[in-house]
Amino acid sequence: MRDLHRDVNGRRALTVALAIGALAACGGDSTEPPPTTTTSGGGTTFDFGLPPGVPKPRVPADNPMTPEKVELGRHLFHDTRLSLNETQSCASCHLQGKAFTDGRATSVGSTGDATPRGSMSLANVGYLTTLTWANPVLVALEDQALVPMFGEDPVELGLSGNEQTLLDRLAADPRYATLFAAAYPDEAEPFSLASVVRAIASFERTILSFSSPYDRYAYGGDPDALDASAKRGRDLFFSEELECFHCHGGFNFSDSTAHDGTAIIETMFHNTGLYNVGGTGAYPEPNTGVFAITGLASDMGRFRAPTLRNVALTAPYMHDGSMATLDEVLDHYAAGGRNVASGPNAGDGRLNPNKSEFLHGFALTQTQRADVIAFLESLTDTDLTERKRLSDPWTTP
Amino acid sequence: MNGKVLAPLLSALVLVACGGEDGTDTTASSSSTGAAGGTTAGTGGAGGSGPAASTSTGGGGSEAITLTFAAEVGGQPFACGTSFDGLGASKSKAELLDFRLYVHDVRLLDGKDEVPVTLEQDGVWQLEKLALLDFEDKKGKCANGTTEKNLTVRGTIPAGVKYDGVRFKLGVPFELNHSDASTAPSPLNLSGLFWNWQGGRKFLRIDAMAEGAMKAFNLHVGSTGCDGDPASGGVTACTSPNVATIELAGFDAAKNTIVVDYAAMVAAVDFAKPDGGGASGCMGGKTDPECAQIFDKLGIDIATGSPKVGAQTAFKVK
Repeated sequence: MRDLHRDVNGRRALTVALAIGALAACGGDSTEPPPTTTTSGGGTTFDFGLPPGVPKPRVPADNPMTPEKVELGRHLFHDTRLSLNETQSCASCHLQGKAFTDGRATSVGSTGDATPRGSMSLANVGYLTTLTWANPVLVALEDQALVPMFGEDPVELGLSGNEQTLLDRLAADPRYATLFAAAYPDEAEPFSLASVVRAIASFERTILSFSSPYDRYAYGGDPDALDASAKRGRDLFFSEELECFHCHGGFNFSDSTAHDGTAIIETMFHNTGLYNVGGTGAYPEPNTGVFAITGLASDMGRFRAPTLRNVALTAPYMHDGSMATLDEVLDHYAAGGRNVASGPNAGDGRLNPNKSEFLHGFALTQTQRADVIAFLESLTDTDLTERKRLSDPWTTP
Repeated sequence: MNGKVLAPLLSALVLVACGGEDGTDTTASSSSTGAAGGTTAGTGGAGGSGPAASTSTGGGGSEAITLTFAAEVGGQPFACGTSFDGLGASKSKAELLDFRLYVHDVRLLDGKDEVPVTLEQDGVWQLEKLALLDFEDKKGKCANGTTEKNLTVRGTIPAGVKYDGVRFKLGVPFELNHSDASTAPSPLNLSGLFWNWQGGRKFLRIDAMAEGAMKAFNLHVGSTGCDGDPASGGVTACTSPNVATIELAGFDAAKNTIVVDYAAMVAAVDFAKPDGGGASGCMGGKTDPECAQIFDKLGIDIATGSPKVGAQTAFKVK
């Protein structure tokens, strides 16, 4: 039983091709050459630089990957001119050193507006079936980029009504004249909103994380990449006792994952018993999960399972940053939910009527707990956090 | 929106629109040549030179019609930078920050008969059967708006049609609403009207800053309960369309104006009280108490998002 699940959830997506060879591409090479595009048989194939066997992200037909678009997107992603008051860029809440999160419980927009949720890691974001914490409508990175740019509740980059200001700013910079022209050689007017969001999305699809010690152990053929504790933690993680892998399984440690070979795309959201305000099943406003989009009572408190890759770098945890450490997170799952004893959000999350069937609680010895955390720490990918191609091009030319 | 998007077409409009000082106000020459029976002839406001510009000069058995709209606040003409008294149950004073709405499927009514108005495709304000009415001019607190205004819906109807009423829908039709915001044609490309969290557009946007308030009272109406399809990348359906149907009797395009009044929409709102929940104001939330108060005045059943025809009090003929 355990072996079967391990196989299904930990490995299936990578299987055959991975068996062929070692992961030559892993190992934190931050001086690797830029990606290339090769044309063969009339089609264009972008080189994502993926380890052998790792499937490619899905790419929309109307926004094919090119190295030039990716490089433009990198500049835009790290450019504070993308906020109206020129104080914030995408990277302000998605810091490379924190696996593209910001270390805050909840993020703050360019005008000081508090957002209700924590910044999510962008590692492997190109594989996600839905974007942000809980929105079945947001399925393309090109569309998602518009939310922080133009959203007003809360204000993030604060560009609503000011898209021309943004485009004028960009067009005035000679560096962008070159970058936009290279990225969109066939467009009469390369400076457009569509050009901006397509380039950012292309860059985001290159934020790839497959070079952790766990990858070297599981897929790279290096039996010594994990120590004994992390190996025991891995077995616990993929066990029926802990049930972690149901939502955090697969090569991306998230069940909201698809790739270019996925035939049937799944969108998954789960209520993990964090709240049960007044015993009604409610989550505190405005963080009601998918309910905020659909208005369906059964969607109350349902959120997307984030990837656990680099999870040691992405504290604090949960959509509202309400857990500071991985220890606290394990306490929560061990208890099968969180009992909020007092205050306005009081209620026993363990009894939330929408709670996922996999949250039935478990017991861990101190050693086992340390093992699980050692395994989670083995998902940290320093190549991701140091890769020059993902870094701020305005400060590191 | 922005000058660049509008500029080429507006310069054409200025030429045709009789050189009103505010050359961007497309009401300048509209509905000035009304004829009996509520039909109009001539080029009133129909100067857009879009690729699909219709033969609005009345040839081929059709004739031009211009429906003129006016935004008011408690009977006073709306303007950016102006404060209005007596708003809501609290009789509050407020300045508005925006005043824009989409309408579509405009029809003239004569008893049981109805005739659709075929909209001129001007490349700016009107697209297919959709039109954007824009009463703000970016002045005062309307900083996120556009300098250009549009107070009319322009199109053609079969020649000689008799009518005494009008019906239109408040909102964007589903098939246009969820188009790609970054590439959509005007008037679907205005970021101030993006409603990205539901993959659509704000149908109605009127934000207000009440005197002494810390936060704006936002009124954004759009479809909610939408669902996405990760395979196609599109929105498949919305459980609450929130498209109102506005039906008005005693209407003659040559003589009447369709008035939309913000004060009527927020008549039940108590601006002096803290927000009752959900977004500050109403952003379409089914469980937002301010939405319940406002949807009632717009003639939308908040539980289902369906129109309650005849229930609205925000629009009238003048």
